[in-house]
Amino acid sequence: MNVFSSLYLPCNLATELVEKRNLVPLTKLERFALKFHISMCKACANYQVQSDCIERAIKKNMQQAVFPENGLVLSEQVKQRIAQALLNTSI
Amino acid sequence: MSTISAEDISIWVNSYSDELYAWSYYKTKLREVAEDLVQDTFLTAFQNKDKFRAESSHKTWLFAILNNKISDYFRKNSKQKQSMTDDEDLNSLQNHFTSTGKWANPESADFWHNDTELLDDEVFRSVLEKCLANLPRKWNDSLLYKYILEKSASEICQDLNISMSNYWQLIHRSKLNMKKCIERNYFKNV
Repeated sequence: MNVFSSLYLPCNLATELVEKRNLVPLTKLERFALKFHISMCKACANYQVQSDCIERAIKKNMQQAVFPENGLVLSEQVKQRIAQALLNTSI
Repeated sequence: MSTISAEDISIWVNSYSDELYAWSYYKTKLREVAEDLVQDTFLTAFQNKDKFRAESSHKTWLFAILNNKISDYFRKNSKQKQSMTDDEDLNSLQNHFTSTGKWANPESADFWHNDTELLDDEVFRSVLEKCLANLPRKWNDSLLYKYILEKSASEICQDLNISMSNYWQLIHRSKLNMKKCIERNYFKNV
């Protein structure tokens, strides 16, 4: 990316930079290009908010479902059944 | 070389079966199916114990096996459409952007800003889960690694065998599809 192309960052690349930024630090030019683009583009500014919202919703949804305080537990009966099945295959 | 004994496996059953079951139930929503998938997971793990690679943890290995079982289950039982689509379907961005890279649907407005309420909404949660089920297997796997197995981005890339740039492109495509799916099914005004 050069200075010229950074001023003409299309929305598909701007939204990709939004996701890239969550994983690796952006270069100075990328940071400038994204900031400049978002300041003028409502749809990409929305994407930024929505992307973040989706991320938090997924995290909350999954962790609520799975982590023991809230998560389901397997009944002792089924655990024993599994242990027995394992024992049978190992003999 | 460390081998895995039947005793190890029974320790695993005690240590990991609740989390595996919770994940399995979360994905299938059927108690008996979820239980059977967990049992199959342990049996497969035991039968393939020689293939266990020491560099991954037992928990990661078991979850990877379970995820394969879940995806097989959906493949066998999908009456309508494939539940977890192939990555190829989502490779193009043309559903979202014009050929010049502008939003195809820019008016997809600025609702859902009040996301604390959104996250507690039962209907939103069920839409979210339905939308997730239609996304690529790889992205669903990456979410499991990130939020349940609590792995770093570089570990996730290693486990999924993708580069860092593939990873953010995968996230980008998946989020765009999630956005569209949520707007269609929850906000209904696009």
